[in-house]
Amino acid sequence: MVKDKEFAVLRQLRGNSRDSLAKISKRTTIPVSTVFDILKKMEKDVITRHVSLIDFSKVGYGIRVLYILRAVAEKQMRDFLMNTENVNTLSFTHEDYFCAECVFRNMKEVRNFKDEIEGIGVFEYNENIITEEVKKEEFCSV
Amino acid sequence: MNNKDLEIISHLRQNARMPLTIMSKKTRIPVSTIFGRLKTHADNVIAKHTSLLNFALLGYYARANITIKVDRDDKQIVKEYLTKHQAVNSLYKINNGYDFMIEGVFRQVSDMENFLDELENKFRISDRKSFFIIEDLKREAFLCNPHLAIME
Repeated sequence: MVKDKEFAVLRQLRGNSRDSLAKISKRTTIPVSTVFDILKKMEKDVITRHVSLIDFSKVGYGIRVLYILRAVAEKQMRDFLMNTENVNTLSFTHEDYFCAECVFRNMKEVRNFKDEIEGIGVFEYNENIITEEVKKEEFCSV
Repeated sequence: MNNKDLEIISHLRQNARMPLTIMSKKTRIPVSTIFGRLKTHADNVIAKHTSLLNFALLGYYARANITIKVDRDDKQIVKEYLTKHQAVNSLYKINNGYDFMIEGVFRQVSDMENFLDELENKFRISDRKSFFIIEDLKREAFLCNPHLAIME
């Protein structure tokens, strides 16, 4: 079980993972050495990665699409989605759905992606344009 | 934005806690330049530096992507409610039949059911679909490989 001090450090990292240990120590009143130990411990399992979230439109990828689909050939679809760079986030859900959050430069790329998916074969297919990212990775955050 | 900027961003996507000295060695860009570029991109390209978590190890065993369709007059107030709700990790406005996609994190399935019941009691939700996440296959994978971070 994660202790209160560990949660406190995690919350700070969720808010800004580039914060220095000194800053985290000041905000949480946990000694720097303890913050260091907690970070090293958490990085072994609880923290899967520190990542910078970006505005994809600012790097030329202005179209974001959420796909919810059920594939005819699950393994083939999984391999395709895992290896396609446009797929930013991918999860597998109950009843064998893939939820894929994808980024594209233009509608031509969206069309090509759809053609590939349909080429593999889908039972169910739902394509939703993300019009606004309201919040992201806010759980357990300051 | 040029290829060097993308390379820096890719390194941060791989490891947001990477020290600038290490990034400088990997990219062969002087530390001072990286520092300057990061300052430029903060609050612009970079939305936030965060740590991705294994929620199950924190005791949150039920995660789901939930799409909801909301009565037109309730959209703004639902957005405000979900923005403040602790169980909502990520929230998107979407189109094509549904209005919002919620990534929810709960201790157990009954907590999720309570969340949805509360939502339906407070607001006019005309349709909803829940997809329980069994496996995370990719998280924030786009632009994570500095070798591929090349603008065409």
